[in-house]
Amino acid sequence: MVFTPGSSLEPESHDPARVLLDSSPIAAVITNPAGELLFANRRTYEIMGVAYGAPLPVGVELYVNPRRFGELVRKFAANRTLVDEEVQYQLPDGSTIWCLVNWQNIEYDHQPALVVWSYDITHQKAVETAIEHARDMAEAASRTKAEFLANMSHELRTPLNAIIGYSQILQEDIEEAGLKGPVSDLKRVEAAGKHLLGLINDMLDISKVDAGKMEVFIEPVNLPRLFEEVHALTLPLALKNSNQLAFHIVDKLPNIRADYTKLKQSLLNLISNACKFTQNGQVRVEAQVSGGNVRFEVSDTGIGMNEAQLGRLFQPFSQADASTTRQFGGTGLGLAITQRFCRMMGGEVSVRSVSGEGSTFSIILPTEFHESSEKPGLTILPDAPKIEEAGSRILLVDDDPEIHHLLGTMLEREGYEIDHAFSGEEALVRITEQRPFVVLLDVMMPAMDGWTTLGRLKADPDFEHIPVIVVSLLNERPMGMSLGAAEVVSKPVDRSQLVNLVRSFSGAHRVKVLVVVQNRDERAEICKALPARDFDAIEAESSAEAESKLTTLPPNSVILIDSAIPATEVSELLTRISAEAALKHIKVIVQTAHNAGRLDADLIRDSGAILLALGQNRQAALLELLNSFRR
Amino acid sequence: MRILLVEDNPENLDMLSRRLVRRGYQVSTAIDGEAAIKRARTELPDLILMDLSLPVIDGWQAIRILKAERSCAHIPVIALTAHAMAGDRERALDAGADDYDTKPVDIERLVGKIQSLADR
Repeated sequence: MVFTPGSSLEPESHDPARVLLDSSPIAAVITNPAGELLFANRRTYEIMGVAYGAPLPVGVELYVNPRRFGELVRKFAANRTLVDEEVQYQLPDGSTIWCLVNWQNIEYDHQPALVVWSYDITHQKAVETAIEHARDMAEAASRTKAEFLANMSHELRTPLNAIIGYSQILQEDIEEAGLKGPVSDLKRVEAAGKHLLGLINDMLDISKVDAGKMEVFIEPVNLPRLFEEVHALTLPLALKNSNQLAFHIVDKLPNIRADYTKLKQSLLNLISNACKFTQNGQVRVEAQVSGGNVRFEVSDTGIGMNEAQLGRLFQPFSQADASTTRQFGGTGLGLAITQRFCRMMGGEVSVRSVSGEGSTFSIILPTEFHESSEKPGLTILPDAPKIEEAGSRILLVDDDPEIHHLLGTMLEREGYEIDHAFSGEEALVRITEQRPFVVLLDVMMPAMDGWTTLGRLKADPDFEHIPVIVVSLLNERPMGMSLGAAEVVSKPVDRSQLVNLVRSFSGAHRVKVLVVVQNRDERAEICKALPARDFDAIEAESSAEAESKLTTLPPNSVILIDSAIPATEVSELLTRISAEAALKHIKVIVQTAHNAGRLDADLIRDSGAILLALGQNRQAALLELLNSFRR
Repeated sequence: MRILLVEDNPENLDMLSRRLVRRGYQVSTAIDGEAAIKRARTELPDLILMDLSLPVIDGWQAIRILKAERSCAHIPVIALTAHAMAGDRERALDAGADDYDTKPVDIERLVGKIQSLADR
């Protein structure tokens, strides 16, 4: 609606309220419910760049983004007011400005009306953008620096290793020749080299963490073994200052899961600090599980710290204070690294101390790493899956509750379980909680529409293999299929057609894995992990049992043979599989340990079987391999 | 005991082989993964010390290949990794290494690992 002359607008007035309004730096526009202009103050014409009294754009015409207008209208309808919204106006001359706007319902001239207050913030917006840009550049520069440091690692360490190594060799040479003199000088060279190496390693650790390039590998940790290793490494350090070193595990501890290397490095840091700052005293390391946490305490009877020193403790390079660095050595980075490592593992490190009496450092970690504490660069090795089998679960995504009722009841009567999602966002959450075997997706939804949701589902490696049936109003089959839908049906939905379609997807795509593992516990562990990745596990205790089950396997199946199965039996199985047409396409994975030498290498090669060497991460490697077959 | 030492850096190679010889081991060397595999096949050493970052064929690949070969699979392999970052250790063991050690090498610690594998 455009204002036309002859309305109630009077350009000249001495009414005090009018005078005030016309001197306001805020543009005020009043319209009636039909959108017709009732009044606009002087400032409005100024920011619109038109002469006073000239036609003004009103309503959606003003908006650079019409959808933004719609959004504001909806918000206003819901809240009866609009407060401090940033909008971009397009002016009659084609330029654009940013304004902070407020909408209010008022009574104007005894009629219900809407007043829109607009405050020009174009300048502030420009400043904001410039600041964001500067910040992005600074962050990028910081990342580049960190990456550079990380890449320099090899270059810095190699010559240092030579310095340390050759000074050690020279010491040996001298001792062999029966001399003594130069040895202490060489020891100093060695020590300086090691100190420098420690500094470099620490600096690289910290910049790696801060650049977000440090990865965390969560795995089961054997606490007694960890303590043994740490004890062996720290005993010499303790003895140097005539300290006693004791390790204690309270109760029989359940398996905890953490990043082994980082936990070890953190403990080594705390214990070496304790040993360094204690003379003729005690250093005690204790581990205890309570609640869902494991707590490590490293306590010493050393010099302790006061409040001021405690405050600076975890900051890089502020080792209590400069004099202690000179006296006690160290890089000043250890605690900063320990703190970062603990946080990456979902835990924390803290300290209690009394100056002159000693200190106690505590590391608390969750016994089970929870995904909510996930940070970038995190690799979690799968344990027992928490998701039940997907076989009968359907995820129904539609914003219309009626549809959920109709289709849901219909499918439930066929024996399926339904997960209900009323929006694209909700669908993406539900699918991670319970894995369905098929998704029914309505295309027409507000907010995240069906096509976007489909795109997101197909882009995620965890769910891309789950078939999606798209339900649309019009004939949008080519669009749906090209976006990755497994099928497209149109509303109104033919009931029996849908049921048949759903039935065709159940079970068909789950790859069967024949798990041939002798040891019952090992077999159970592997079979437990498979359904979460949409594999059907079939168990076999021996190669004989496996042979009897071979004919039940569809061509895309996988057979996993563990290292305990005798090599001759493995050969028999492989020979049979390669020979029979019905079995030829079945993939075979043979786990190897020390039996690798006895397996028939030619047969393995000819049959196309894959050898999987047993290592620390056998389960993760196995699942990774199985997943790769799917692609 | 015959040890095959695989290391591409000439100084590291020199330092480590001298110190091992001094301790009574017979040392033969290779400077890349491909040469390592060839040497292992022909010489059949009692133990292999393999640096992981090697040219031509890298350490992980070389270990995997050797462990998959009937004639060499029984030879114990100690992988040498630069800075015991979690990833390196796991990958060394996954590739089939029997043990790993970190650089810079603590010669006593390494000898300990060599002996315990030899005793097996």
